[in-house]
Amino acid sequence: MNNTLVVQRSNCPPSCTLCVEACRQRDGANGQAVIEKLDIPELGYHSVLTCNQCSEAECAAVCPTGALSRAASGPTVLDKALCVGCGICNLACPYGGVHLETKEHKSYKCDFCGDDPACAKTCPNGILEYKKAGDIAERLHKDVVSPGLPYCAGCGMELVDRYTLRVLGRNIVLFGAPGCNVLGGKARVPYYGSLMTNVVSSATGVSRYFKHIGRDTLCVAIVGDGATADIGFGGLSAAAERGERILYICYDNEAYMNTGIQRSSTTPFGSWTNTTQVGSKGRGKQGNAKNVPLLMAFHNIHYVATATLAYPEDYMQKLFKAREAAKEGMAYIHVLSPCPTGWKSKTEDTVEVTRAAVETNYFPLWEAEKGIIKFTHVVTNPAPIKHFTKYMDRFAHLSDAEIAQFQKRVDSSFEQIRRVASQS
Amino acid sequence: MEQSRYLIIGSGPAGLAAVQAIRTEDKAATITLVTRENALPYSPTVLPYLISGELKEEDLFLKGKAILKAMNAQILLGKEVAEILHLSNEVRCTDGERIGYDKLLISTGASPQMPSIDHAPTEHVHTLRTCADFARLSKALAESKHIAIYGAGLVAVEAAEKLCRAGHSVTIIARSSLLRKYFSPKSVTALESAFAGNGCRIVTHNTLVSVVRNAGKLKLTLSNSDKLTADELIVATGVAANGVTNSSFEKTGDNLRVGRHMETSVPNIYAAGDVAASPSFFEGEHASCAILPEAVAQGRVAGTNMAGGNMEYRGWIRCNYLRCFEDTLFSMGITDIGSGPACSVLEQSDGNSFLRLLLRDERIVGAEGMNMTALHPGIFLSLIRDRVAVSGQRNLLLSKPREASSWLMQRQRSAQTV
Repeated sequence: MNNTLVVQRSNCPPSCTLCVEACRQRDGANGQAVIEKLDIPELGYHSVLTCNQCSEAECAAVCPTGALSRAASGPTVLDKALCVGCGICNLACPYGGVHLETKEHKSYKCDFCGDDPACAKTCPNGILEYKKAGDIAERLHKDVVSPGLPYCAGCGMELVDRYTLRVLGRNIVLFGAPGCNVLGGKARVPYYGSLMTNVVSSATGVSRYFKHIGRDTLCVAIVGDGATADIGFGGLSAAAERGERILYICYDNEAYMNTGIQRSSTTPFGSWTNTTQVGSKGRGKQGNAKNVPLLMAFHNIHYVATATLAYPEDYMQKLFKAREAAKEGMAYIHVLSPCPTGWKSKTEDTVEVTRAAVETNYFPLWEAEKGIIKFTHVVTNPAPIKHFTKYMDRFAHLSDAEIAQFQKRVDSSFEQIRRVASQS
Repeated sequence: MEQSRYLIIGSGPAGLAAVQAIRTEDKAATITLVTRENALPYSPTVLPYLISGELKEEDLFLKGKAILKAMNAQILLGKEVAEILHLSNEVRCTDGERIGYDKLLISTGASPQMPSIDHAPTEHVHTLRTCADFARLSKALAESKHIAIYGAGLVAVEAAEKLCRAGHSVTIIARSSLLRKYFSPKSVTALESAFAGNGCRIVTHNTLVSVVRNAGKLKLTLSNSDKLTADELIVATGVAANGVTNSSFEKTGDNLRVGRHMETSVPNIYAAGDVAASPSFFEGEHASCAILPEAVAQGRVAGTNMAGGNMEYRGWIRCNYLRCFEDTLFSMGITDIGSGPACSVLEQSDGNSFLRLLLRDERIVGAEGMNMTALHPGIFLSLIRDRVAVSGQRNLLLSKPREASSWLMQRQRSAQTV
């Protein structure tokens, strides 16, 4: 792996040429920059052009003298003494990475200023960023979830898993049920694949064994909403009542997504699923979703919280608290995790849709320590529910009247939590 | 009999690229290069730079040496293959030795073609294709001399420029005009005046009829009966493939005809570089495209396929890059509007610089530039190769060619990666 200059695809500010200026000032630049600013106001396009530092560089492949070669740290560098200025590299490079030294009849190109590119240091817009291979490797090594994704495009679960395991570390054993998020072979910690009905019992048994042998390894169940709210709810409620020392994380994508988008008891009002069809008779799911985190809070267990992707710091704080709480009793975190496949939302909106869920009070962020509920994020001016539903075609059929009905249900559900929170 | 899993005849850029590609696929097998020259691999492209001293002679072989070492390939110098015995998968060398192979690559390149000139002596008449040619020429150039160059292609023009710069008096004899096949008349006129400004004489539309050595000088007679005197003559009127005599090969002229995998018509035998007649990018017609980037691309395709991979050659596009005195020129793709389906031409010039783009179906198919030093010709080549539509930005391509070409390229790249 090599060091890389990452160029973000977002637009640069039109008038900014700081990178080009910094490049011109670099050692041995002779006043010539090897990064170019592209300003096309006609098209609203403002970007930069510089060497791509290809891993199989065509410029070096065609160079007749070997003046261009790959440096150990990553960039393709030019040995000026060997360059005859034939320009074939400039003809072969499709990225505009090679420049002409007009006075000396030589080529010249970016070499990352040795190992510390001036342009990246100067860029105030976060568009140019120099990434060191060592740092990336170290981070990947630290990451408990292995690289590569077993999910659909845009699934929220990669973020949920990475945040969760990054915070909890390696002294854990994972438990899971059949579903989208089977982590067997995908995490560098033990994973026990159980069933929907008995995943919590499995975690309980191992946790009790660990206590018996005096081991402090945390048992963590990461389970979907179907197994949590429907199929495994009896076991979950019983474990909560017994106060088992486990951390149970429910990832709620609001339907049985893995088996083909069937409604679950957390599917919201109005939502299309394959078992709540929209047609001449059906109008999506009728009735309310089961509020599982609130039910769990009413078990008065050590810790309950809601969390979602748009508020990662909030989630991390809650994971820290849950980890501590699970040493004494049960901890439960309910994470709203979008499913672009079942929600019929755009893959790039995954994080935004969870922000909208919070901003509309559809999914308020709160925590309950031993039954005492308090909000961890207060929305001062809640947006109308349409701000949430507009991201998803599973709600596309809703009429204004149905939206108004949905709004009422959201308001009353939120009011229910607010009342409990203010009382406690 | 020696046996090599991979045998490569010729050690030019195509052969070296094949060595690298083979090693990517096959880490262990023996790779053997055979060259009739008594020199390590080098690129003939840079021989003119030895004349001007811009490249030191010993540096000519650095890249080849490094590749052979890194790729663990062996090379047999001064060994010429006389015959390919394809039925027994072996070659016979002129010294009688036979070398067996599993896969064979013919990358023998091309050699200067000598036109018929009456009475031409061998002394003081040169070609410039191999480093042995250069060594011979270099001895003759020890002192300042008058040199005649017969030919008007890139080798002739580059040699002429380097000789002028080195202080020799130079006359170019062109059968038509300078670089006619490579650049448009506008660029050629500018180049001719640059040569004139540097004291070089150019005689156009003339053939060299006879050369006689008399009183220590070469007396040259041209087709218009003009006479010239010179100390040395360099003949650079074109090259012909170093083909093979074996009649089992399908050929196009002297060149070995190859398919998209650079395979010849004979099993287990591939060809790449100047010797190969490969399909073109635009029409797929078979011809040799004797330029360095295509030699490398073809060698890479041949090597990959020889080692069991599957790579298709995307077809050649002629392109040229020339720095001559203070001018920088490039041309690529279709530059002659007379040939093939109708093209529209976009042209912009400013003082001594100009840019000319040929479009067909709203896609760039050819480009030529002179002193457009801010442009990256490679970006235009990539737009041609990727058949990128100009998206109604014809005017922008002329008014802001650097920005517009880069924008089209970046947009294409992001579309490919997303």
